[in-house]
Amino acid sequence: MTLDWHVIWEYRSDLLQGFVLTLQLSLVAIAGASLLGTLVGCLRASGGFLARRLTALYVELLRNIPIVVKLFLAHFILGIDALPAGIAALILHQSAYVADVTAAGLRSVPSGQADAALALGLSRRRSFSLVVLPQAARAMIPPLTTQYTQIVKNSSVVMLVALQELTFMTQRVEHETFRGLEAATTATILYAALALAIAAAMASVERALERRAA
Amino acid sequence: MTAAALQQAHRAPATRAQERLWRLLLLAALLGVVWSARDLRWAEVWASAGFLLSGLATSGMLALAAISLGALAAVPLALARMHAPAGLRHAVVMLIELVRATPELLVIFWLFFALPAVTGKAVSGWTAAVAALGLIAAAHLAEVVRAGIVTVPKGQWDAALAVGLNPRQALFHVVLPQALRNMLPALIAQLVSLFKATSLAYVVGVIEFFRAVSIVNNAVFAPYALYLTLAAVYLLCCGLLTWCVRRLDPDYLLAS
Amino acid sequence: MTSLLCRRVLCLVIALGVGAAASFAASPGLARSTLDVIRERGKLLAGVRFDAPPNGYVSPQGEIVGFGPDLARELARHLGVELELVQVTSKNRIPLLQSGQIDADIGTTTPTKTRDEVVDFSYVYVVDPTLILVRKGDSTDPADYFDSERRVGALQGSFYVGLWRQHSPAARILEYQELPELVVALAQGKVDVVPTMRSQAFGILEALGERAEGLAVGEAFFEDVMAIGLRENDSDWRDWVNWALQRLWAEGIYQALYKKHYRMDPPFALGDAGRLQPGVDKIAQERDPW
Repeated sequence: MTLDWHVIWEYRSDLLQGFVLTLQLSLVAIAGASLLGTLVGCLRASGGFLARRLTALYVELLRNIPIVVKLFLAHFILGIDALPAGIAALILHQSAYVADVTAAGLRSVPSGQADAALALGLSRRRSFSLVVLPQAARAMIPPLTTQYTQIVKNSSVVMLVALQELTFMTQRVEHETFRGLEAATTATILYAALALAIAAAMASVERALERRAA
Repeated sequence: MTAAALQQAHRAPATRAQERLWRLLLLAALLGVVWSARDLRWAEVWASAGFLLSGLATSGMLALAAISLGALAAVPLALARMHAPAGLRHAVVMLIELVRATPELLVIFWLFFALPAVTGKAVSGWTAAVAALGLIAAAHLAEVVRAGIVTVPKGQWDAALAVGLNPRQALFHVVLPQALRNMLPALIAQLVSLFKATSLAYVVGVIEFFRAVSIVNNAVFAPYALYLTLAAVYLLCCGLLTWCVRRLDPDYLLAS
Repeated sequence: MTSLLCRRVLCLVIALGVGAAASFAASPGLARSTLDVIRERGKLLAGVRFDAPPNGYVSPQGEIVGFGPDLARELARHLGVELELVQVTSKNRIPLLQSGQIDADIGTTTPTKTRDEVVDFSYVYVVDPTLILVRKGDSTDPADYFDSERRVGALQGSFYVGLWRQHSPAARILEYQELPELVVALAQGKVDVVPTMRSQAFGILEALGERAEGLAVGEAFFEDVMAIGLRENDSDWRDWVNWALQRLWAEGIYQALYKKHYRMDPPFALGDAGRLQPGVDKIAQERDPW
């Protein structure tokens, strides 16, 4: 079995186009999931009874229902267009995990910090945003990096609604040339490169946070 | 008291009335969903229940086989990560990072094609799927095992050596058992994640639950009923396991 | 940080290296004819579709039925071996054949030159006109959809994507992964026309029952042929399969099975322009089992 890397060169524009779509989907979903997840996580950790229970239900439902089901719900049942439906499904799915990470991060900050801030005269809101949240953020960076990598990996689900992202294009190469191994290797390298870039970005964020705290 | 317990004490505890109201609301919502779904084509789903259940059993077995393999492989990986000479250590780290960064579908696909090239024999879809999922589990669990070992108090290690055990005996009889107990929530969480990942084994021909639903759908065209069943089954299975994790260790997720 | 970056870049380089190394590794070569392998193994591994009625699908009782499985049963019977039905999909049929996991792909594969370069094909064994599925009220003439703004739906990797592009180079084609999603997309207006095989079109309408109200079957514009996929350069096996198909035709079993599943007589003549060799029912060589 000899490998023929020539086909990768032939299909380079297709693969590149797919990679760009994956990149766009991932970035938008990362931003959306972070925002939504952090919000839900804060409510989960420190809201009233109803807020805590509702967000717990939100997290359990969205974590355990497969992302495919959410995508089909959005696209085929609610009738949302393919691209917005895909982004919505990705954001909703990962926001549940981000919410858990946020809640755990907030819980890990010793409550003495919040008490001290209040004792010093800061309002509840400022003590939360200036004292508790930054410390929680530092603890949250590693699990968030894992979640962002998950988003990149989950982005391939949108090919089920006919969007042509990287895995779709890998399959196209395979269908038309039967060079499955070459296509799979190329796709693996591209996905790993994207995950690497995200990890590097998060590492620099972590260093920036440490510098500010020091 | 732990930080979590302190914070629990700060929040107002839920009253019994609130709890009851919440449970009533949940029940009402569930009944609402069941009522609105009554017109779907459940007859076809029921007729294929045997086939779907066999797919579910396959998913379960795949996940269990993979987690066993992964847990076994994770221990030497973690130990290599901590104590091996520099060259081997870097190789292990790179392998773990690569596996974690690659989409699961591609790992399965890749092993299916690469294993025959290396061993010279064709491998069955089942073998490739178990190997791939086991590899993924091992890569994720290696970090967990390492964290588990590190959090065993050093006093345990010192006491074991003081009592007269040699380092290897201390590791296997005192430190590892405690580390593995710490790891239980993470193991179950990884099992949940593996169970969801078994849906990708269809590319190598394994008929697991997701694929079984798809096959039945292709024959009877009852997508709403079938995908609702899919959601309900996954919700039940994964939800049950995740509930166990939370009961064992509410702070688990911070380490993931 | 640089060490972390270096470490991970090294990771990617290794991935490339492994990929390149795999290209030089030995592959499971085909030393003997599949015919001998099957008889030694005592089992025929037949690849059939589990998701494509009426060619191959799963009955509610969990049995695998259809024209492909029935044909496979006949072949196994005459080979004197057991039968194992292995699921193939359009994604994995060629890889499964190449790696030896199946001995024959008795599915819905259209022989094309690209595919012929990596596998071999038997005689054409199914002929199915390609027609279009549209929403009720829309035009049923395929020509109305060529070179128009209407969106076309097809399964990724299916023959119809290339076929449609031949008729309509600038068409907007949305490629889905599974047929039910494609049908729902048509019904909901996400695509306007779906080229598919005649047997599948009527199968869809039947399975949908009263929900097929909104769909209509249009006219055919191409005659699609399908053949049994076999491993490349395995002449003895291919000769036997072609021979077996001819003998089943001579006995009338082929036509009966075809009619049972496709609800029509085979609209073609099997083999060399329909001329079965004289004495086809006599064994040509001692080695040919029947």
